[in-house]
Amino acid sequence: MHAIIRWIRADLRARRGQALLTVCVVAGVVTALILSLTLLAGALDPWEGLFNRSHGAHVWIHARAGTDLAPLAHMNGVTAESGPFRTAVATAVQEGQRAPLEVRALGSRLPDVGRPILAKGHWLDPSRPDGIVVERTLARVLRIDVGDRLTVHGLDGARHDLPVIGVADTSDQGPYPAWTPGIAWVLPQELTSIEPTSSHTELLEGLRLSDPSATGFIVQQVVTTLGGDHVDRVSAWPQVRASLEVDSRLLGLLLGMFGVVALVAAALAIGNATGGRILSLLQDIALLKALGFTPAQIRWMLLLEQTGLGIAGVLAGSLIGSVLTDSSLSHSLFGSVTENATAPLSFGRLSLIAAATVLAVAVATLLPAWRGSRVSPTSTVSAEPPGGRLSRFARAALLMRLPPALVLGARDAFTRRLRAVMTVGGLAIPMLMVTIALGCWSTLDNFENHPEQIGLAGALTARPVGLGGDEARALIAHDPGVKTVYPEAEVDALLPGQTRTIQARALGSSQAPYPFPVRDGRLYRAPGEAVAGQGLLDLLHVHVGDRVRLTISGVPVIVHIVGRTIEPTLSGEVLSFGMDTLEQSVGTSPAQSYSIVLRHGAKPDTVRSRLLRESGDRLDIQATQNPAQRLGIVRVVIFGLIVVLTLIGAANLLTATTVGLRDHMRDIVVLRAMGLTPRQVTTTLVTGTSVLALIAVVTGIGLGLAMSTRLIDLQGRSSGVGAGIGRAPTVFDLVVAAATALVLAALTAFALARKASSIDVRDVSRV
Amino acid sequence: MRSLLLAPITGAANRTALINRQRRHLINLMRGLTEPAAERDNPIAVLLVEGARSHLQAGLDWLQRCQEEPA
Amino acid sequence: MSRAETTEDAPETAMIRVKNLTKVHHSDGTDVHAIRGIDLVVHSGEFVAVMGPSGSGKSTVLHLLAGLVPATGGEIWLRGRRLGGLSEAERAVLRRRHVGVVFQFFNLISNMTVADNVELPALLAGAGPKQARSRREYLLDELGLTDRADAPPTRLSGGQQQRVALARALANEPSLLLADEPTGNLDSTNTRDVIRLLEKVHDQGQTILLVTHDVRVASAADRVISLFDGMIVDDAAVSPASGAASSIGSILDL
Repeated sequence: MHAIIRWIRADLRARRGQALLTVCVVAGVVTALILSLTLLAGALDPWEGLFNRSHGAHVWIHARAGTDLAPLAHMNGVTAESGPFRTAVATAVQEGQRAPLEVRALGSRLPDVGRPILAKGHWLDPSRPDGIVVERTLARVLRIDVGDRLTVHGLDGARHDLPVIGVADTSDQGPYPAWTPGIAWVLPQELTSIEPTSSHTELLEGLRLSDPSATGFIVQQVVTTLGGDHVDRVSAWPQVRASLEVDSRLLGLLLGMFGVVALVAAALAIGNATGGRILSLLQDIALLKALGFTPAQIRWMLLLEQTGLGIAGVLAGSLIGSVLTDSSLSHSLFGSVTENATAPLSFGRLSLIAAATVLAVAVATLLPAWRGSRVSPTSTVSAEPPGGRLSRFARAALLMRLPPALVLGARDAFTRRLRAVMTVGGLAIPMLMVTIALGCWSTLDNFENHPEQIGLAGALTARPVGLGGDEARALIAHDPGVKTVYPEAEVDALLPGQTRTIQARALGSSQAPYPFPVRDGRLYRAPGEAVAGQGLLDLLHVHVGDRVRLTISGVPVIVHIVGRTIEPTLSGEVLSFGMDTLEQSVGTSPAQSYSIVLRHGAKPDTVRSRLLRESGDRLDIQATQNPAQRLGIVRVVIFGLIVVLTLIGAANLLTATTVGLRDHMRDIVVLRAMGLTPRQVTTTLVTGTSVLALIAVVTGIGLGLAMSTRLIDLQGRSSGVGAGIGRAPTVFDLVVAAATALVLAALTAFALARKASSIDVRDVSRV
Repeated sequence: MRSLLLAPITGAANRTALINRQRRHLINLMRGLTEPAAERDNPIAVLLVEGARSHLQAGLDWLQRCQEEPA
Repeated sequence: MSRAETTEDAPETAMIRVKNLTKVHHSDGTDVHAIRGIDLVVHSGEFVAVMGPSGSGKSTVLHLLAGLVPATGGEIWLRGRRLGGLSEAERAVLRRRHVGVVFQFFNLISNMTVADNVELPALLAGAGPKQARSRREYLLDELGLTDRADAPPTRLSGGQQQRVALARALANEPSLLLADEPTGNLDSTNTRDVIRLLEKVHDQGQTILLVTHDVRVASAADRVISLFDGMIVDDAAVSPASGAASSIGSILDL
C-alpha cells in the first residue's frame, strides 16, 4: 500500500541512526552465527571440507609393485581415479623423534582427484629436485616447517637430508600420529633415490565413486579384481572421517548455545527498540487511525518496517559472513586456531540462518506492534508525569545539600518504572551473557596455565627406543628439570558383558600415585583401587565407591572405584589405577611409556631437548596435547559473541535513553524555569541513566557469576570430562566489562542530553 | 443581561431559555459585524471590529459561566 | 429555525442523522455519562458550530460522528450508512473516504514533511502517487503554503500547522469535515485566516461540523448547537442582527 510505504520511508528518514543500529545489530548476529556454524561444521566434520576441496578419492588401494591397476578405472561405480603413484616406506628422524613415513611420488602438476592441498610453501618443483612436501599433522609432530631439512632414512639405511619446500593437507588418511605412517611427497626421481629397489615400492591408487555409500562393495570388488595377494592395504573414507572427528559434544553444545543466545539477545534488543520507538509514536499512531488507518494496517506498517530492516541486516551479515568464511580468507584468519581448514557453509544452511534471523526479528516486533495498534484514535498522549511525591530518601538527600541535579536524576530513574525496567533489563542480560562468556575464557586459560587441574600434570611423555625401562627411568629422573617420573601402561579392559573395551591406564604406583585432580571421593591408595572419569561412570552406570569387574588380557579383575577425576581424553571413559594393581592381577608388564611431571618453572621444550641429548636419541619424547589448543576456536567465538553482545547492549541503551529523554522533554522546560542550569539538566539525565546502568551491571554480573561456573561444569559433566573444570572470570575482566558498560551508558546519556538541553523552549511548550 | 441575574428567582427552565436567547443574540451581532468586507482595508475600522468582538466573546464566556453555575 | 428537525426527511438525504445517541466512559470504577441522548440531523452543505462548556460532551460528539469511538447507545447514520454495526476497521475505511478530521493539537504526523502529510490521505484512499501529489500541490497553493512543502511540522507556526491540517483533512474531498477547536490555540490573525478558509470551502459546498468557543467561528456557521451536560439545549440558525442596537458603537458601549 502506497500510504504504508510512504509512512515507512518518512519514519526511516527521520530516525536514520536508530535504523542503522538495528541493521548493524542484525548483521552482527548473522555474521556471528555464520562464523560459529562454519567453525562448528569445521570442528565437527573437518573431513568434509577437506574432502571437497581436495576432490578426494573415496577409496585408496595400496598394491604390490607391478600390479596392473587398469581394470579399476573401468569398474562399475568408479567415476575417476587418482594415480597410480609409486610409494616407498622410510623413516623420518628429527630431533630424536622417529616417524614412520610413506613417501609418495607425485609430479609437479597436482592430480585432479585426491589432490593434496597446499597449506604452506609450494608444491614439488623440478627446480628443487630433492624437495619434499610434508603432510601437515606429521609436520606438526616433527616440528618442522618450510625451509627446514628433514632427515629421511631409507629401508637400505641410506640417509637423505631433504629440504622441506611445502606443507600440505590430505584427505587420504587421518592425522598422524593416530594414523601411521606419516605422508610426504617427493618427485619420482627422488623416490627412486630413496628407494632404489623397485620391488620394495608399492603402487597407490585412489578411486572416486559415484555412490559413496557403496564403498564397502567397491572395496570387495577391488580385492577380487586384483587378487588378494596383490593388495596390501585398502582404506576407505569412513575410517578417515572417523579419525578426524573431534570430541564433538562439548564443542557442539557450546557453539550451538552461543548461536542461540546471540539470536535471542538480538531479538530482545530489537523488541526493546521497537517497543521504545512505538512508545514515542503513540501520538502519531492515534492520528493515523483518525485518518483512517485500520488497526491491521498499523500492525502491518510496524512489522514491515522492522522486518525490512531485519532483512537488510541479514543480507549485510550474510555477505560479510560469506566473505569471512571464504576458503582462502578463513584459512589465514582461523587456520592458525583450527587444526583443519574450514569449509564455507552450503547455500541451504546460509538460507536457514537468514530465515531464522528474519523470523526472530518479526517475532520480536509482533508484541510491540500489536500493542501499538490498540491505541485509541482519540487519545492525546502525553508523558505520564512521575508519581508524585518526593520519597523520604530523596527529601533527606536534598536536605543534606546533595546537588539537586543528582538527586532529581536518581529519583527520576525509579519513578518511571517502564523506562527503568527497559534500561536495566536491556543492559543486565547482555552483561549476564558477557560474564558467562568471560567465565568460559577463564576456564580455557585455566586449561592452559594449570594443566594439572585437568589431569595433564605430565607435560611430557617419553617412550624408550632401544633403552631398558629402568635405565630410561633413571635417566629421566636424573634431569634437573624433572620432578617425578611415572611409568605408564595402557591396556584395553573388557567390560562386563563382553560388549566393548575401554581404556584402562596404569600410572605410577598406588603408594606414589600420579597427581590426578580428584573431584569426588579420593585418590587410590592401595592396589585394587582406581579412579575413573565421569564418562566411564556414566558408561558403566556406577558411582564412586562401587566395585567393577573387568577382564584385562583375559584375566578377570575387580576394581574398587574410590574417586572421580577430570578426564579430558576419550570423553572421560578412562579408568586409572597404579601399575602395581596391574602387576597384581595380570602379572608384571613393562611400562610402555613414562609420564614426566616437570618442576615448577621448567620449560617443556628445554627439558625435552636436554633429555634427547642425554639419551642419545633413544627416547621418543612428545609433549602432551592440551585440549585448550583444540578448543582454540571457542576463543574466537567468545570474542565474537562479546562484540555482538556489546552492540546489543549499546542498542538497548540507546533505546532506553531515547525513550527516557522523550519523557524528559517537558520536564526540561520546567526544570530550566525552576532555575537549573543546562549543565544541571544534563547531569540529571546522565545520573538517571547511570544509576540504572549500575544496577543493571551489578545484577548482570552477579547472576552471571552464579550461573557461569555451574553452566560450564554442566557442560563438562555431560561431555564426560567431568564437573569441576569451570572457572569464574577474573576480577580484572569483570572490572573492565563493568567499566565499559557504565562508560557507554553515561556517554549515551550525555550525548543525548546535550542534544536535548539545546532544544528550543518554544518547540517543547507548543507540544 | 440584567434579567439573567434575576434568573434564580424566575426558575431554571426559564434560565436556559434566557441564556439561549442571549447567546443567539451575541452570535447574530457578531455575524452582523463581519458581513461588511470593506472594514478590512481600514485599520481603524479593523480595531473597532476587534474591540466589538472582544466584548461579544466576553459576553459569551460569561454566559457559559452562568450556565455552569448550579441553581 | 426551531429546534429538532422534522422526521419527514428521508435518512438518505441527510449527511448526518443521529438518534438517541448516548456515550458512557468507564474509568476507575466510575461511569461518566458524556452524552445523554442526542437527536440531530445535518444536511449536506451545512456549516454547524457546536458550543458548550467543558464537560458538555462537545468533543465526544465529534469523535462519535467521525467513528473514532463506538457509541454506547443510539444510532448514527453517516450518508445513510449506519455506524453502529461496523467494526473499528470498517469505520476506519469509511472515515478515510468520507470524513476529514482536524484536532486542536497533534494534527500532523511528526516524522513526515508537510507534503507527505497532505498526500497521505489520498494514498490511503487508494490514489496513485502522482494523483496524490497533484492534489497536494493544488491544496498547498490554495493555502499559500507551497514553500513549506518540505518542512517538518515542527518548523511551522501554529497557524501554519492548522492550515496544513485543514489541507490534509480536505485532501480526499470528504463529504464531511469535522474540526475540534481548530482555532483554539491560534492568535487573532491566524484565526481569521482559518475562518476565511472554512468559509471558502463552505461556499464550495463542504459540509462542516466544528466545535468552538470562539464567537467569530460560531458566527461564520449556518447553525449553532449548544450542548450542556451531554444534551442539546439549543439549536438555532445564525442570521446577521440588524438595527441600531447592532452597530459597533452600541456594542462597545455595552
